[in-house]
Amino acid sequence: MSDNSEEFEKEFYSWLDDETFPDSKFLDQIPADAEEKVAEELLIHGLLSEMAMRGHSDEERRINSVLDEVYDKQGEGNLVPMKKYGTWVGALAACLLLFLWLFSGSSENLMADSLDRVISASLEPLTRTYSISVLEEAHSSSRPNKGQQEDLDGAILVVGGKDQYVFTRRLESGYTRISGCDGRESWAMREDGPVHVSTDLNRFIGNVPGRRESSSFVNLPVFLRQLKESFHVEKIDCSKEAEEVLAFRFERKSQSKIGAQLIELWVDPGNLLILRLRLSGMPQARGGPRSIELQLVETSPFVQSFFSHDHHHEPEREVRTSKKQQ
Amino acid sequence: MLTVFLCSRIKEQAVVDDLFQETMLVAWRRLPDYDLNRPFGPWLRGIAHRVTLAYFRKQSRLPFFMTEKINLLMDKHFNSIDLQSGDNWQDKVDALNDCLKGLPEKYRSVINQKYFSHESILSVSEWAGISLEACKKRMQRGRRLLAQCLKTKGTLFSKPT
Repeated sequence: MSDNSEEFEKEFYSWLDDETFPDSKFLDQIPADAEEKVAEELLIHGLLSEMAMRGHSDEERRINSVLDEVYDKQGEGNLVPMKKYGTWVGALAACLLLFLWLFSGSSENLMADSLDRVISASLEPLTRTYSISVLEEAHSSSRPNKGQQEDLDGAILVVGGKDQYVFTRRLESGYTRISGCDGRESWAMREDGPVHVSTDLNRFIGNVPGRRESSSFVNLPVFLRQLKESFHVEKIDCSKEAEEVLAFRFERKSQSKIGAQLIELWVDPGNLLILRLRLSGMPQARGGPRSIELQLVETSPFVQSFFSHDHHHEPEREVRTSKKQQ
Repeated sequence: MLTVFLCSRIKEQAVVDDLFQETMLVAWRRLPDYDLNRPFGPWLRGIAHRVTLAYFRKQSRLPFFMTEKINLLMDKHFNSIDLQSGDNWQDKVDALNDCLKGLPEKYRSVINQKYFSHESILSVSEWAGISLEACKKRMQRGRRLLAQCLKTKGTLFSKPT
């Protein structure tokens, strides 16, 4: 085998299996005698990837997303010619904007202000414990690795400051898996296995709710800010609720395709703590439920050591450390 | 089928979603040009190929595995899948489930961990208690066994012997 063939093979399997895949000049030079094998491997890789992301809602989401786009394009084609009606359309738009500013501007400002106060409150050092309930399961699952799947129902998520969390959930096999991050390193372990530790803070973030947003729920201030920016927000009328709460509904803006479609947030107006968070219309590409709810069960003073892995296993447990992959 | 085509060239799920959408939109716009006497799959893959190439160009990335020869070879497999019985793509590639089930445990487990539990290769190797290199080899061997199995079942194209 020539040097180039060897290099190609090495880079090819690295592309297929590693998370990092720097552009390589070798990948562009497929040796003639390797082409059949490469085509076959790519196809199997594609088939397995497609099978793993398959799900009714995923198909539905993709088709809806295409249809939305089609309707948008059709709408563009049917626009009234601006040259002819430009002045009238301009005047009408100005009236409409004035109307919106007069009648809804002030309430939007109030809502943005409330949300900003929730974001500020989320910066306070406090340990918040949430219990997770699955409200709607995935419609179907063709995932063959039964036993290793995580059961989110009944899982507990403890959130501290930035990138400080502990997430405990059951596996279908009956074992418990616990993962977390103390802000410096992330870690994960099964109750009967070694502790995996990494300097990559997102390495074990796995099924932590909200992780499909660009930032997960474990980094509350950033999570909330991104909700404000990437979602249409409206206030939910809670006048009929027994206790006074502040509630928001975040609906994903149409261009975004990843993550929950709808997020609802209930906040205690007194201390501005997030009491309840509901994520609906979650993508099914990687399995998991369609809709979940996090309920605040406890708050306690922030203790840094709780978020370290040492706090959650006996001292003699084997610890395996890996560095962040570049 | 389109997802398989895209996943075989693109690793980022969000990009696969975007290119899927873009391909469907281009196909929608070009539907009047589509020759009904010709098969739909290669036509759609042709569009996906151009959309993917444009994406690589825009990102100033090298377009891996986009050569004509690789496309032709993969098309043979896609055509073979098209000939399978079944109402939809899922039915036509159902043999993959059987082949996965039939894999020896040591190959099946690492493939499941990587593809269906979305673990990194490093995590899979740690989980399996083997070195990273051994894990990669196991993954390669597993995929090769799957390809052989699918050829035996007639799902994938195989050269007449």
